[in-house]
Amino acid sequence: MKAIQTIIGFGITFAITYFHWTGLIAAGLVAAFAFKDLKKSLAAGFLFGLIVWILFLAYTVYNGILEKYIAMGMVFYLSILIPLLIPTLTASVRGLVE
Amino acid sequence: MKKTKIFSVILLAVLVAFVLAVHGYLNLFAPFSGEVWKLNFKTYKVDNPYGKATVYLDSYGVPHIKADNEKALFYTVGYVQARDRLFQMDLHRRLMKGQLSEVFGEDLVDSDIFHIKMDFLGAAEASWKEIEGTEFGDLIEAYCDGINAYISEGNLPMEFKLLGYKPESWKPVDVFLVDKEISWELTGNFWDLERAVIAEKLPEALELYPSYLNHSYPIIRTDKVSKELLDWLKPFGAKEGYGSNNWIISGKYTADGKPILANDPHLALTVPPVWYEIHLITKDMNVRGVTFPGVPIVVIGQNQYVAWGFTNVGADVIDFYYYVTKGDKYLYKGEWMDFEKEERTLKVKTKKGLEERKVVVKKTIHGPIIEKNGKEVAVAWTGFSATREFLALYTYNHAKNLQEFLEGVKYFDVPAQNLVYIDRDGNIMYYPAGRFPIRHIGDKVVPGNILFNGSAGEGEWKGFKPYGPSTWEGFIPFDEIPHLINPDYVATANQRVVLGYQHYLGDSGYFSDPYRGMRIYELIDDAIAKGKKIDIDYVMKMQRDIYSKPAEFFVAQMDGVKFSEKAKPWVEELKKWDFQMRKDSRAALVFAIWLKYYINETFGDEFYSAGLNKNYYPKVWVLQNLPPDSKWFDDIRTEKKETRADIITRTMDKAIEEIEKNNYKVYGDYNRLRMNHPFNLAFLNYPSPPADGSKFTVFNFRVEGKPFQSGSSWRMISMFDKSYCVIPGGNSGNYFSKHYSDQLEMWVNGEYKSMDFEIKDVEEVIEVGG
Repeated sequence: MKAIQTIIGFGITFAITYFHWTGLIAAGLVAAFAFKDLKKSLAAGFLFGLIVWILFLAYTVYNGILEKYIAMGMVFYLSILIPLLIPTLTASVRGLVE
Repeated sequence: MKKTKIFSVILLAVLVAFVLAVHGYLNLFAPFSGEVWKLNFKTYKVDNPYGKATVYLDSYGVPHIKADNEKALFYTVGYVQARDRLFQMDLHRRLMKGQLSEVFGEDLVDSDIFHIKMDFLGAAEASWKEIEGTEFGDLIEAYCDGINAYISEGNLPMEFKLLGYKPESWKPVDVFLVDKEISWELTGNFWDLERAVIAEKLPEALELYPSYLNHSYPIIRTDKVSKELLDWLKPFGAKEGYGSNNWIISGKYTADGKPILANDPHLALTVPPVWYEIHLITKDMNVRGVTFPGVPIVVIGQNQYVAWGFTNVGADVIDFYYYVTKGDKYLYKGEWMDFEKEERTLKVKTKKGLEERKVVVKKTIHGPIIEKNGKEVAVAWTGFSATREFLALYTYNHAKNLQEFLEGVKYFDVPAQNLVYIDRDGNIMYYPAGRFPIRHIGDKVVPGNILFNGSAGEGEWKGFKPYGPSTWEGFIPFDEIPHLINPDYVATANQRVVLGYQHYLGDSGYFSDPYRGMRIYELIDDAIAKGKKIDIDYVMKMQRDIYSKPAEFFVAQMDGVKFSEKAKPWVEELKKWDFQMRKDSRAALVFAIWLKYYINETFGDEFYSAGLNKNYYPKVWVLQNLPPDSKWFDDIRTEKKETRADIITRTMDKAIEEIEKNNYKVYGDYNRLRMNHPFNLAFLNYPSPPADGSKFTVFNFRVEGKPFQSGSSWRMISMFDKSYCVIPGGNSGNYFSKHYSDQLEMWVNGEYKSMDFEIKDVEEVIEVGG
């Protein structure tokens, strides 16, 4: 049951992420409260961010802009850092409530 | 506190710091939701209040627009241009209205002040008033509606998002601002002021600026000014290095007996390109070519009956007036007149936010006043009047024969252009279209390359009204402008129009060095002399020609000159060189760099001593024709009396030093394309490949242009159903579009794509209305 709730939680936060970056924070909170162990929460947050970025990469492939996306230098790196860091760091809330 | 909690607090602190540090970028670059990822180049259906139109985008992103009626067509043109080039359009509008510093900050305040003081907006309003309410005026309004429809969709180009502003709605006067910009960039020449400064600072140098350059390749072969004021004005005048080629060859000399037209205007090489290719189809019109983003009609191109192209005449259509003044009044023909004054607001983006500053627009009867440090002159420029060149272009787009086309030529007021024309009936024509003022002092007709005493009413243009409709009666009558109808062939490359013409069109400061014109004529003459019938392939070869006429002349002057040991191998390369400015050539490399030093070492000592920089140097043709013992070769800083040979030797050593210092191996190491986006972000800039050609070759590329390099901004060869073209870059200004720079490689290599009337290779269709 908990696993389904977690999956739904990540599904909803992904939908939010599609429209606004605060979805990444919400995903971090889902990761924080879905697991009782800080390490697992951090790993879940990171995994969520990684999936978001991989899906985004697929989006750029689908639109034929992958090469241009990679050529964007700092913007490219920033667009990787944002989904990886925000949910991972937010998931550290777990440590405060343990 | 437990270690875990401390660790979590640290991580959360890092999160807060990260979010604060990149907060501005989160809305822009976060995956999916970031504003820059909202791609705006895919559209399928759009409303159109004027009727139905369909846009077929081909494999180069060129829109072929078929419409039920012209209003629906113009609306759709507005929509697709905004979709592809809205930021560029807004940038040009801001430039001319003096609004760049509102978004870019303090660095562009001087540019804004200049453009506000010149009141280009007033001139654009005057032109719009002439058109408003006419059938063509209604089409302009439909065009603006199309742009505004795109703006209101809210899917703006990336640049707006990065700068954080939204464009204002488009108004008809904005269309005319683009017209004024192009006209100013081609004819807003400060040579009269430069000449006045030279006359004051280095009077003996006036011999270097003759009334005309003494060559036999014309198109038609038969202390009032402060230097500080001029230095301030110079960046805003007609751009150095702008020029163009066009030529027409009658069917008498072509392989299939039909005329051929070739055109390549040399303008700034920008990202995105200055031109936008378009194909417009209604039941009455089928026209294809290029326009400027912000202009709804084809500027250079062909319809199914006629084809046309332009180069800049370079004529003197601008004058400057000084006055006796007293407070807020100036003397004019014995009467004290009030300066017309109007206060405008300039908004400047600063660290403290948007700051408002006041700029006073001041005018006399002749035109706007430009001033710096108390020195002021009034400017009369043909483009300040209400002008009708858009009406001329509209007529060209529709013309079916020479007669209809000529009616349009009469409307072409500014910028004065060498217009070439061919038609399906086999006619060819050359006409320098534009308004050319005739100046008088008393009863005497005088040239326009001097400063005029505005208080005495000297040099006025009869029938000219700045910021209003002109009657133009004091200008060269249309029929008297030297032109050719059905000659064998004509080549124009901004050289002097004609020798021995009764009216002044400009002096040698206005017209270009003759090298390109000379070469084009040679290539045509040569083919004809050999009995060869000219075809498209030969004309393509001409447009790709990289033979340097200056190299031919200057290398010949090196005969008998003694060179240093270090220079000898390079000179040997020059002597066996074929004068082709090829990117893999070592001789082209040393010649290009040597010429730069040779010009500077010849004139720099005298000019810089007089406080004049290299912008004042005379034409290369003048240098080429100086006798070997000319006083200009003497270096006034040494006791010895130098001759041409001494300067050639010295500058060859300097050129080699530069080559070694920069580790150049071949010409292409030096002659590289540098086409940067206004933001100068690496990913937005175009690639930087080595290039063939030079400023003096027909295949034109000017590596040293600032702030932009310049060169062939559009290459077109027209034979109606067998026509070819290419632009330096791509038709779309959207970075993520595959048409952002898809023609660049072809352009660098001198290759072409088809430009006929068939709609083929359609990749995307947009239904607009219906």
